[in-house]
Amino acid sequence: MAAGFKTVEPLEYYRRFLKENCRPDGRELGEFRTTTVNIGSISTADGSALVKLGNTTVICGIKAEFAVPPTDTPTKGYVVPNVDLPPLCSSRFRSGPPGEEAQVASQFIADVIENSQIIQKEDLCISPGKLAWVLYCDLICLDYDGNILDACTFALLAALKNVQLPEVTINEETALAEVNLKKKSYLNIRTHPVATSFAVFDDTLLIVDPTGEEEHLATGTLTIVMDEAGKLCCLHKPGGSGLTGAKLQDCMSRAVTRHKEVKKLMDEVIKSIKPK
Amino acid sequence: MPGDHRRIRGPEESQPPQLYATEEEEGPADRDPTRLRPVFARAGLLSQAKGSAYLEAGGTKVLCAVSGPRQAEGSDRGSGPAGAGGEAPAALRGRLLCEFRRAPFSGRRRRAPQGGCEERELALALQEALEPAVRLGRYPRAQLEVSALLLEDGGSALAAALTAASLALADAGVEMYDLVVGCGLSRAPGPAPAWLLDPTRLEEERAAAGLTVALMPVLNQVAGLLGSGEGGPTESWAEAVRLGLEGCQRIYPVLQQCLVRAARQRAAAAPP
Repeated sequence: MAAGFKTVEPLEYYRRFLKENCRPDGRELGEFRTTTVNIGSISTADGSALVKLGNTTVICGIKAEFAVPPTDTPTKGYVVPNVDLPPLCSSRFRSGPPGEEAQVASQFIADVIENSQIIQKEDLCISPGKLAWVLYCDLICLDYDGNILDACTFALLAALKNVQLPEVTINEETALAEVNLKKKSYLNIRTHPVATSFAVFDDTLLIVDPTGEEEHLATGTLTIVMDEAGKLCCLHKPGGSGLTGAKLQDCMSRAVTRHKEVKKLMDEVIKSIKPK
Repeated sequence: MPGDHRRIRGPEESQPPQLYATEEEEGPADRDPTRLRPVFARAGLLSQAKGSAYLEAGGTKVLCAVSGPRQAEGSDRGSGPAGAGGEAPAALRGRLLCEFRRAPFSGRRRRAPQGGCEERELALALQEALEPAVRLGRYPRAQLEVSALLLEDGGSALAAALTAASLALADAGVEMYDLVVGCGLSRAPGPAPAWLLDPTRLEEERAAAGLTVALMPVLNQVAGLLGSGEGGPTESWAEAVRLGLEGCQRIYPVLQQCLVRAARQRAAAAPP
């Protein structure tokens, strides 16, 4: 009976739950789905992380390579994010070049990296004007059930914390790099940006961590990226219904609490990894 | 990527640090040529796909998802003579579309997310090996999409993808005659070395010849075979195929347990 109603009138079905301040999967309006993270499982990558937010699964793998730094900033390296939404994560995506949603997600991650200064690009430079590291951050969504931006940001952060770069010295005589693969060191991660996504229903109600169905029925979405000092790094609101200033403040305070939850989870996971 | 404005631009060229490594990498250790790495298989893990399977063998990690059956494009063809058992005529039979994809971080060097002709060749090999096992005549004018994603390449990637794909098809409830189990082999260069079953990445890189065999274990029929390289006399290749078929039979019980477990979980989760 309920399943039939849900198929015919999904919005009404949702409204009945929202009136009681809860959602069909039993969560409160401000509650996140169970978050799990697994770090360092891909040994061919220099750093990797798998994040699950309920059913949404994103894997991030980072490969570090050498490149010549750009001519206008010879003391900086590169960080190149790429979000991939393959057909296996959901039937709405087709194989081929990245679609609109993947491009938006890639640009969002690039903005988060730039604005939050998660790593200083100067740290990636080995020899100014000649050699620098380029970190290719490839995020692949394995299962799409809403809230892809939060999962991607978390996966990227966890993978960056896991990256170990080998020691490089420049030989003065031959001017070539010499890499010692046995000696590796972690990256210097300056800030820990954490994203919190909201969906707007009927122009008034805000719910946190929307699933795929909720995103489909929502009239607008909002993503806030905070770092640990309570500073706002990025705010992504692609159109949709308008929000009052007061609602926006509520969202930001929820984002601050979420940051604490995520930071605690990540610190636990990193501590539990046995050093190689 | 020149002119690829859909992705974030990086440097024009980049080299992996392994090219400048000061120490040589160690060669693969000697081992029993018939040893198979322990296999971990799970089915039914993705919520959005009709059927899915994850397979891990040593360092090789593959995830496969199946979606469909969906209306095939260009499906309004004429009819022909009907097949045996009341199946649809050949022109109306269903199609299997396979896609094989390597994650950019899966190998030693980063690969562009685009993929190239090698992936198309492997996708075709997947399709050819899976077709004998699937009852496509029961899905007229429909297409089944199988996508395999290689998360980490630890050797025998195609074999693992074949096994994962057939598990995913079974998990999706597609009608099949039998599962398809894949096994990889490789032969080191030299005068007369032995064929190694289930090679690791290091062994595959230094190999002179490689072979992947796909077997339908219950029917005991070979579904697919892909091999290349300089392998020596014909008897050597025949020996390799026999070794591969034995390897496939040994993996089969693990896959049976995996499917039984997935079916139990699905029954437990289904609403009464």
